[in-house]
Amino acid sequence: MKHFVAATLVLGGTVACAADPQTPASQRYSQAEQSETPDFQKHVMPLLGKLGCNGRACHGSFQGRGGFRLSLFGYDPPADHAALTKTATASGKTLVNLEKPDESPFLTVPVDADGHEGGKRFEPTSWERHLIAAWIKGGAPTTPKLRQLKQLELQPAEIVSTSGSKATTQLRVIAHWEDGSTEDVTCLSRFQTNNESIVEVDRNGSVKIVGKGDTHVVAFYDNGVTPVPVVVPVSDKVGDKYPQLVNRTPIDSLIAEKLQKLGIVPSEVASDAEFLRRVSLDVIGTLPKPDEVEAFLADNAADKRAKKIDELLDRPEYAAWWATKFSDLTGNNPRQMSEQNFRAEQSRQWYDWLHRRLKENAPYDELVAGLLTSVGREEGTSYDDYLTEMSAYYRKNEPTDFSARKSVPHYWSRTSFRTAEDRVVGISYAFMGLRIQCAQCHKHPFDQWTKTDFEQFSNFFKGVQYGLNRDARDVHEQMLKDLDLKGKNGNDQRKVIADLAKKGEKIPLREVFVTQVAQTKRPNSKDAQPSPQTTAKLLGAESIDLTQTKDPRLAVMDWLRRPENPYFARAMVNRLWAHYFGTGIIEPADDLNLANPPSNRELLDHLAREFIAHKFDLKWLHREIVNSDAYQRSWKPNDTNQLDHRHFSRAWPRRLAAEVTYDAVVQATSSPTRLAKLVADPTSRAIGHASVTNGANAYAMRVFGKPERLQTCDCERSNEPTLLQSVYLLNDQDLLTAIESGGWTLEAAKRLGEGKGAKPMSDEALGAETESVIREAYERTVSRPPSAHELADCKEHLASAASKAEGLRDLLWALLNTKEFVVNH
Amino acid sequence: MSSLLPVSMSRRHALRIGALGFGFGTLGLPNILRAESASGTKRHKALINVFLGGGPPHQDLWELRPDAPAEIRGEFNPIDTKVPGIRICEVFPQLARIMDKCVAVRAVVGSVGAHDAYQCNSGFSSRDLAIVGGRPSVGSVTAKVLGPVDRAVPPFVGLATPTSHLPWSDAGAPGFLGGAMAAFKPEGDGMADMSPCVEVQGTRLTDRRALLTTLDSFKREADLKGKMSAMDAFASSAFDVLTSSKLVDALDLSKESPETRSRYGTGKPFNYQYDGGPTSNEQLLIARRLIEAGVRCVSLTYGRWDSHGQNFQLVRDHGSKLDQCLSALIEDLDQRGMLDDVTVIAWGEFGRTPRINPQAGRDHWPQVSCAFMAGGGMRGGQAIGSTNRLGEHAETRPTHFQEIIATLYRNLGIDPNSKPIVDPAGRPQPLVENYQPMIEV
Repeated sequence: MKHFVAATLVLGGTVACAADPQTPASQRYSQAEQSETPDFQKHVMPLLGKLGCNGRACHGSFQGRGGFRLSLFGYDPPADHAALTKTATASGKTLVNLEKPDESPFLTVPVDADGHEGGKRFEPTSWERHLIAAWIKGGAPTTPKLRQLKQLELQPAEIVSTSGSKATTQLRVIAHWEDGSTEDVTCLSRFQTNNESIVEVDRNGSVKIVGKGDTHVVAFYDNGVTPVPVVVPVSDKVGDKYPQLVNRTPIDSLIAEKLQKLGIVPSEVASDAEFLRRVSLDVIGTLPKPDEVEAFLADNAADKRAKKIDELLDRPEYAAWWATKFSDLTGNNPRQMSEQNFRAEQSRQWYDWLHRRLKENAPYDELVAGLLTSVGREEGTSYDDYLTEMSAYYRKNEPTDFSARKSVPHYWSRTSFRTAEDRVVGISYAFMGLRIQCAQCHKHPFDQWTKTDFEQFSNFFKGVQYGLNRDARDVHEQMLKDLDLKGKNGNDQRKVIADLAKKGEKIPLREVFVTQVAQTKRPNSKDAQPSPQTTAKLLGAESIDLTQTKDPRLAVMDWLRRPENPYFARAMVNRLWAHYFGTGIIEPADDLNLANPPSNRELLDHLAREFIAHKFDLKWLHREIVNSDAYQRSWKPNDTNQLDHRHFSRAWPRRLAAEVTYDAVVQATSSPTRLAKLVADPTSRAIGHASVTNGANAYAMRVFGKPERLQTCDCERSNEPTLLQSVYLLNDQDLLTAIESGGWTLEAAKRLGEGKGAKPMSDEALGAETESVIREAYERTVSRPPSAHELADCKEHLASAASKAEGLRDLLWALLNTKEFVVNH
Repeated sequence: MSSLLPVSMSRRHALRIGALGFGFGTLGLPNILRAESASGTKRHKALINVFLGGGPPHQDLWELRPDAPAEIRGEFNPIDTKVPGIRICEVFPQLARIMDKCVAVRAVVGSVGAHDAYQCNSGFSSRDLAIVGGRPSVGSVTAKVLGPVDRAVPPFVGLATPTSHLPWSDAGAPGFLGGAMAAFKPEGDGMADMSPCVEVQGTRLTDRRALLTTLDSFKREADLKGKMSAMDAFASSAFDVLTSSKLVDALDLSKESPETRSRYGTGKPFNYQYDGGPTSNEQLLIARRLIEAGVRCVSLTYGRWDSHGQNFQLVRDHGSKLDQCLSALIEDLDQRGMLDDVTVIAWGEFGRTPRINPQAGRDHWPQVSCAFMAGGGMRGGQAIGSTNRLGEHAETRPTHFQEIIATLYRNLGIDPNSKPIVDPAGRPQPLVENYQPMIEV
């Protein structure tokens, strides 16, 4: 990312020695008739952006306005130059008149409040007009070759308000170009506040503090995007008044540094019962069982929390739940599988493959490589061998274990993943946390990416195909003949193939393979430069000659793995963080654009660095986060952190995920015997169910927001409360049946002397048993013993109920309908 | 509009506030309260989208081609309608009688040729923006933009029950708006949840509610973003749903008079259904009842019009049933004073081949198709556009799918050109691309 480079450069002093930057254009062109001809890229284009000319509602619209169209958000100088100097607009004139510069519509229209639909953009005597006039008089030159902006520097680099007054600060924006020249471009930059309730910024870069908290102001110029942190303490607990904190872990120290600046005091660490429920739901998607709650509360060991975390990471539910989460991330959607015959199987295979790696704790980069660089067959394998191997995965009796395979070609053969553009979007989203789709059609409005960056990156993925490789065609053809499938329509073919596959016969299949880009250089050509189609460029990094690589995806994978890659490790760290805290260090967690900086850069950098140093060890990352006090804090706020959502000074209750909710209901209502079965095989639970929409719980999954894996957005998984969820919990037949016949209420009634085989008991024994049953109902649902007050209320209800069983059903129903049950707190 | 709004952030915020619940109860607390206060005070605009799955033969419905040779013309004769100069197929005498309230669009163009309801629901191909979830349907956009009319009734209901060719029973996808804005389907679990189960009927529910109030001690102040408060509000609404039974009643045709029911008919027996939808006339009556209860958009699939064989028998069967229920619906809405607010449209994914094939069928013909509309404040008594003598292509006034979709939005009170919605990538997406509502209506 650009601002990393910036920081390094400034610290390294390579830029610091440069001469004073050129004075701003607003000063240089304050008078008319300047001899200096402005530069199209450096001055005229940014000015068009600043004036709003190239916005979506104006000439940046894909239809243009008034016959004049600019590239949206700029950054296509040749097209914009042509639009200004060559293309006739609706009025029949070109905007630039080199013969009579002062009559150029470019100068006369934007000052005309009535004639210009977009209103008056500048004054007739303003520097903006003088600048444009000087450019036209200088012959309206274009920029022959795009210059690279090396750094967009902002002064000051951070704004910390200690007084709490409504102070204003003037930002200064300095452009550092590749040739070493620098210019003050404040007047040509655009500004944005990321939270206008804390800080406002006007079009001139004047920053005004209006509230308390922490956010960023962002400056945009050329393709540079630079944020400046703005910190306004929220309480008077700053400096000496800030309490002494004990920071147990590196995470806690880094969070404390930020909290101290903000005057936010963290909440206490949560109770053992709260911790156990939270960590179980988060790490393994599963409620703790009552005996687990009792054992944990009774344990006096000082390190019992760390031990519990280790235990959870080794539980089978860990792999079951995280294979589901990684299926979400990577788009494992049965409806998009390539082979109509085997959609469910392919999705299952994909899930199992992830499951195995998570269980074995394979390094994250290896897991990604198994998807990102997957192929149908390894080099040296024949098509025939490939078919033998693949067919064995689809046979009915004892299919071969797909998860032992090196890679998952289904990732590439998906129907939603066939164009290079879709691939760029999907890969950038999943493995880099980037939403780059904007740059497909125009300059990204919040990031550095241009249309060229997008196209150049997409070249890596153009050669990946799903079909028949050259050496496979004859074999395939012969197979169709042998199986008498030639000339049959698709449906009939599929039916025959499905039957054969079930029986364990070899079947014809397509495969994922990569076609190498051929040299386009003609033998007699002197030009040794590869053409643009034969090169691909990594995002913000070097170009690769595609004619020299058999599989360009390997170059992408190598780049992702590099320690200096700004996205790969950070995206994963940030996603896991968001999973545990409900908010990413960058939020939204899948939007790592330059204008959306982290709330605690040092924290994200630290974790990303360590994650790389630990060879992308996922369990290390889980352990590191979950062992921090920050994760273990109570949700109960104090005077300073009521509103703190971005600095992790307290926990925030989050509604349980769809799968977790469903499983929690099943678990809370099940008899101990049934519960033991569920625990033994987590893939029988919703958290380990590969399918997205099928299955007995499909309705509950929809209502509680399980993603269908259609969208490239973390927001597809919803944890918003809704009316239908409330209706479900109050009244769904499955839920009521589970309460009635899941086993526990009947068994508990028996313990209270009711029903078949129950023993008569003394009042005293009944009283003690009633308390024990109520305690268990609480531990089954909200994972804690009841308070004395709650215990009394429940006893009273049980005593007044028509029968013990009915009273217990009421009790369990009520507990399942409390907010405490359906949120992780 | 500023081009520099932090769209990515505001969109997420909006998505999260709206998320999940099939457009129903998907709003934050203020919107629930708003919906409640607004309910019953004003009649709302609504849409009934009748999808003629499979692609009805355009030349056998609203614009016959009597001058074409026999192998193209087919069996049917045109009849006069109430509007002089407009003639439609003899299979539709009742619609002919009320043609003054109707609009026949005779040259619909722009079909992508896919055998699905996607274009009739959204105006776009199912492939458009697929990587971010696809384009949302009119119903989902309406749920998103306008929210519920009544907090116990979903704004968007899909009545189609699954067909074995699944894309024909697509109620209208939420697309990139996410499952939150999907149609509520009154079937199976979702429907069953709407009426109190035996276990919680009557006083039992009241007792349990009292117990719940006692035990639900978790503090609202735990979350200042209003999620806990929203949960309380939803729980309270959920009790309303269970006790008011407004939605359940709307779906219960036994509450309708026998006269009205016989006016709509049943459409039975369901012929030629195979892998498509039934000719369920009752669904049109249910649609009217749902809209009275507060639904904004109802979608349904009517019949299976994929007449590769026996085209004329099929049109006689499906057509005369459609004639009965569609005319009943339009007249019923009119009598109840709802026709100005409710738009009714019946259309399919494409037209059919001019030349009749050896099986007396007609095959797919995306070049041109047709639509039949009424209500929604539109000027009735019009036939818009025409095909050439052989019914092969649009000759005058081709009407694009998106012009019709734009018209539906306009009739619903949503300006299709000024309300871009934001996709998961933070990009504002227009509801239609470069098309305006039809000026004729």
